[in-house]
This record gives sequence, structure tokens and C-alpha cells, in this order.
Amino acid sequence: MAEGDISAAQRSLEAHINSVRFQTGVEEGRWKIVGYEFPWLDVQATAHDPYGGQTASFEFRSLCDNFPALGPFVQRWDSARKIRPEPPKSSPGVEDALKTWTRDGSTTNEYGGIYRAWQRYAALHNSWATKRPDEAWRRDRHLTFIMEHLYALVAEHAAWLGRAKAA
Amino acid sequence: MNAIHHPGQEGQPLGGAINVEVEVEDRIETFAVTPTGETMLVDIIRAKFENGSELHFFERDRDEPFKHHAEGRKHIRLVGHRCHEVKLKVRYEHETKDHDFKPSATVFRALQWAVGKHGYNLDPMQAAKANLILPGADQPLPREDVLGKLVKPGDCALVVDLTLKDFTNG
Repeated sequence: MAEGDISAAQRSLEAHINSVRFQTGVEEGRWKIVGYEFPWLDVQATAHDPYGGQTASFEFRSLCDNFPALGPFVQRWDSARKIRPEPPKSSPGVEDALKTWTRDGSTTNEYGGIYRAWQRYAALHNSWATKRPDEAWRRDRHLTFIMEHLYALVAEHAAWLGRAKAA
Repeated sequence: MNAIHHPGQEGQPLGGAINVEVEVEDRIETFAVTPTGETMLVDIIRAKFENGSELHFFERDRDEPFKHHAEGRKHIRLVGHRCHEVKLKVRYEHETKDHDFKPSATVFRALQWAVGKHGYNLDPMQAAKANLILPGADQPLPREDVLGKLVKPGDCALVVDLTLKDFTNG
């Protein structure tokens, strides 16, 4: 594909992917791309709990159309089976983020995505993004803002695994 | 496949260059450097800053002082700070607990410590609601910020409150 055929959204997304901060996360083993066909970006985030010694990985699928003006729609994903897996047993915070819920205004019970203020449909729910500007997506944010939040979810799950093992 | 390039597109990394992003307090600089001979990469980077001799460099969210890149690394994200450590005091209810973090540690990492067994050992329900907030502020600290960004000039200490407040309800 020649550069001229690429939309502004795709060009922006790929500039973020190729940036120092995204690639540093890849080289550190915090996340990696497991599939990409614009506007879909599939990543795997891996975290290690320094206090409990547990490691955890989750895959996520992001719809990045109109990036970065519109924040990505992000859901947990199983790239081998091409489905959204059932919410995991985990800490209350992770279970809340990965719960199954319906996006506002959907007449067909469409899944709303990860339930956090930075995620496209959760941001609109109860004006969450307005109430939590520190967690909301803005067009001047970097893709790694999302990646860091995904990594944090996985790190929280790893910490929960450590506590569950110790109990 | 972790970087994406199309034919004829600019911005592909140069052969031996290391792409570096350095955060020094509220400033972020990005550049490429090429290691030469036995010169440590940190010395090449230090020379790019006017006050470089006063700065300690760390990889973001890592504790060891940064000296040189590991084999195979092409991208490095650093925090440069005049403090070698940030003395963090976390207040919760009527207690204060201290921990020394590197200025490269993120708020997220400090929060993990504060809610964990080395901090206030909150139960999972409480831990899920917890945030760190500057005294008197009305919004929690962004979890992706590094602690070095939050200390005041001339100081290497930081006081924060651990809060379980639900900020989505005003």
C-alpha cells in the first residue's frame, strides 16, 4: 500500500505504533501486537507482579477508526478463537473493567467494551469522561495512554493471582 | 510485526541508532543517538542537556540507574531527574507510611505499593477504589505520571493522600 492510500487516522495510529514510547513497551515485553489490519489493532499485554511474583497476559482488540479524534473501542480478545472471552475471575477492579455491559443507546444489546473512562463507550456512560478527565481519552493523548491502562489491568490481575495463591 | 512501515514511508529507524525519549520534569525530548566505541549511552544522552551533569537517568518505571542499552534494544524511554530518589509519604486515615522510589516510578507503581501488604494492606474491594491524590486537589493523580514530575523544584520529597473516594459521583 502506498503512503498516499492511507487515511489520516491510519497514518496517526501507525505513527503512534512506531513511536519510541510504544516500541519501548514492546522491547520491554509489556505489550506486543498480535494482529493488525486497520482499523483493528490486536495486542497482548503482559505484566509481572513484583510483590507476588505472578505473571499474567491478556489479549485486547481495539477499533481505532477516526484515531485519535475518537478514542478506541477496546475489548478483551482471544485472537486464536476470534472471540471475546468470558470475563475472568479476578480482583474487583479487573472484574468491573471486564464485565459484560451494554453500550448506551444500543437497541441490539451491543457490548460496551472495557468499562473504564478512557474507553470509547464507557466514556459516554454517566458522563464518566467529564468526571474523570485524568482517565479520559483526548485527541492529544498517545496510544500508549491506552496501553498503559491495559498493562495496569493485567498487572492488577497478576497481583490478584499472587494474593490468591498466597491465601 | 510490532512496527509498521509502508513502502516509501519516512521514519524508519536508522541501522545502529537508538531512538530515545527523555522526560526531564515537564519536558519531553525525543532524538536518535548512535553509540560509538566504549562510550556509555547515558554519557551521550547526558551531553544533550544543559544541566546534564546534575541529572540522574533511569528507564521509566525501573529502579536501576541507566547506563547503557541492553543488546537488541532500539528504543529507550528515560526519566532524567536531579533527585536520585523521591521520598514518598502516603497518608491514609491517621497514618503516614514512607517509601523511597526512584523519580522514574509511576504513580501506578506507588499506588500498588500503597494498597499492598508493604503499605496499608487494603482488601481487594478497597484496593479497586484507591487512588493517590495531592493534598487539597480535587482529582486523583494520573497513574501514568512519574513521581519525578510531581516533586517541587528544590525538593525530593512528595506527600500524597491515599483516597477511596468515588470521583465519578462528584
